Amino acid sequence: MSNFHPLPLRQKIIISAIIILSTIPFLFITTNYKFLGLALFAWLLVMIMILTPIITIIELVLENRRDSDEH
Amino acid sequence: MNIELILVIAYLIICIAIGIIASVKAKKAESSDDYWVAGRKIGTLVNAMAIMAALASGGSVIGVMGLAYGKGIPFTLALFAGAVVGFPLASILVAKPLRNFGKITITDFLKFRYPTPFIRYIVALIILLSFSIYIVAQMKAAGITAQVLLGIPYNQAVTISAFVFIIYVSFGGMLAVTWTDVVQGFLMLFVILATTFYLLINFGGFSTILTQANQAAPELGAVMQWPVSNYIGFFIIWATAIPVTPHIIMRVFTAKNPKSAQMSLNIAMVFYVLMILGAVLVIVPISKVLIPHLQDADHVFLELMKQEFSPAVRGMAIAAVMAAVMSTTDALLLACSSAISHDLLGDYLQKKFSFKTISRINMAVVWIIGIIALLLSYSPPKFITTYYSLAIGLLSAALFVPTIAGLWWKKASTTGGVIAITLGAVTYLTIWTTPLATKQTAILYALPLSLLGMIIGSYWRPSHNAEISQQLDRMHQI
Repeated sequence: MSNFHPLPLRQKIIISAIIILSTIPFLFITTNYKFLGLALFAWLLVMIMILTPIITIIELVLENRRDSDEH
Repeated sequence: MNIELILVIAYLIICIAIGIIASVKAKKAESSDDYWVAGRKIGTLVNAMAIMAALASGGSVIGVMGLAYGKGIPFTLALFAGAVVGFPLASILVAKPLRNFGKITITDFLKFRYPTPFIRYIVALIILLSFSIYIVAQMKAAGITAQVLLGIPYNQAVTISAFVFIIYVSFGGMLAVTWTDVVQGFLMLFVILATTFYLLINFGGFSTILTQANQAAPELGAVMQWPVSNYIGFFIIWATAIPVTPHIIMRVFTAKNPKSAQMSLNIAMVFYVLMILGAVLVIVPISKVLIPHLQDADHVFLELMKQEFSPAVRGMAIAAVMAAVMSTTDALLLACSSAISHDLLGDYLQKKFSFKTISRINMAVVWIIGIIALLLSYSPPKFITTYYSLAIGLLSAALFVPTIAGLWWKKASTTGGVIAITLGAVTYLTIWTTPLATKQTAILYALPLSLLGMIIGSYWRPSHNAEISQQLDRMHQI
């Protein structure tokens, strides 16, 4: 028997994706490449701030739809 | 009387009126659920706006722009991207099981999961310490807003605003806080987004604004103004704080069901992102061009309002900043009050007094905490956002590991929980108060040590409590 309470696979994937996505900007933190005056690091963080809500809301909507189909 | 003052007074009267109406509604019920978690009937969109307003504090409106102006956009985004990442973590890992748990505060869960009196006292004390600092930062935002835009002396402005929100929190409880938060959330979002679009149209569009700002102040978009570990430290503080921050988690308990709790957290995140990106990527670069040499960076939004906008717009802006301050401070005050009269003294009070007497004690606690914070805010910190982020770091250092492990790891034991909380809090406070490392990196040491304490403690002295295991199974299944 597992020592952890089960977490649905899709939610595991989302958490892993968000953690991986979040580490990417920090890999570029020391680069001086700039786009429109902002460091690449900042632009990658902007992408995270836009993508994270989209990913999680899509997952919740899909989960709700799946639940209502089951009922 | 000028138009700014009329708008602000009208707004404050509306907030107090909502508090009184909510108080009348709350009096009809005889349950503590109605005071603390608004009867668990709040819908998804209303809850989302309330969550956004509770998080988007004076720090987010005044402080975020001050931080970006003073320390650069990349550093500010590192901090707020952490909060954005924290929302899905809260939604997936915490919202559903905690809503199914059906109690009132995060301390309720921790003392159920790790049943020892130590947990109840230490968690309540950590919340009180952390939130008192957080409230002081909010009061500075209120004070400087009235000082810059209304010309009222700082101390008077802080005193007036503090008394307004103490009054409506102490009377109305969570229902008042939720409804005022909705009004305040809309107002804040409207003012920041309207200002963003107005500036985008009048200053030649997004790329022109950033290009001009880069020419005027190249440091605005540069990284490495601080060491890399500081950027990572602030990101981690907010990513791990959102799932355990009491005034956010209390909103999970107010939701009508677990799905609504999850969805409202995510919708709140969308509102929050829109506001932060508008402020940091448009309002701050323009301010850097127009007002390049400010003494106190936290004044940036207020000075921009003063220079570029009419009195009516300024009045709206003051009301929006007050909204931001009040919507967070009321939630913080309520969480502090629950830490004392529910978590610390709850069992004793319920045995000795009626619900009505306990309500009066809640009210007294809100007044005492509010007045202590008011006295502290007469000597304000320099950067609002860094100040309260460090305070929030204490919460994540102490509570993140025990909460997540308590919810998901079956082997987590009481000894593990006690060691994790103690080690996390002591490590964080030690680094914060001594020159061992920079304050911003304290979380990078505290979290791994807290995790290590949890693992060692749980294997060293495992606990087998069938009642806890069954309840946890139910929380994950419903």
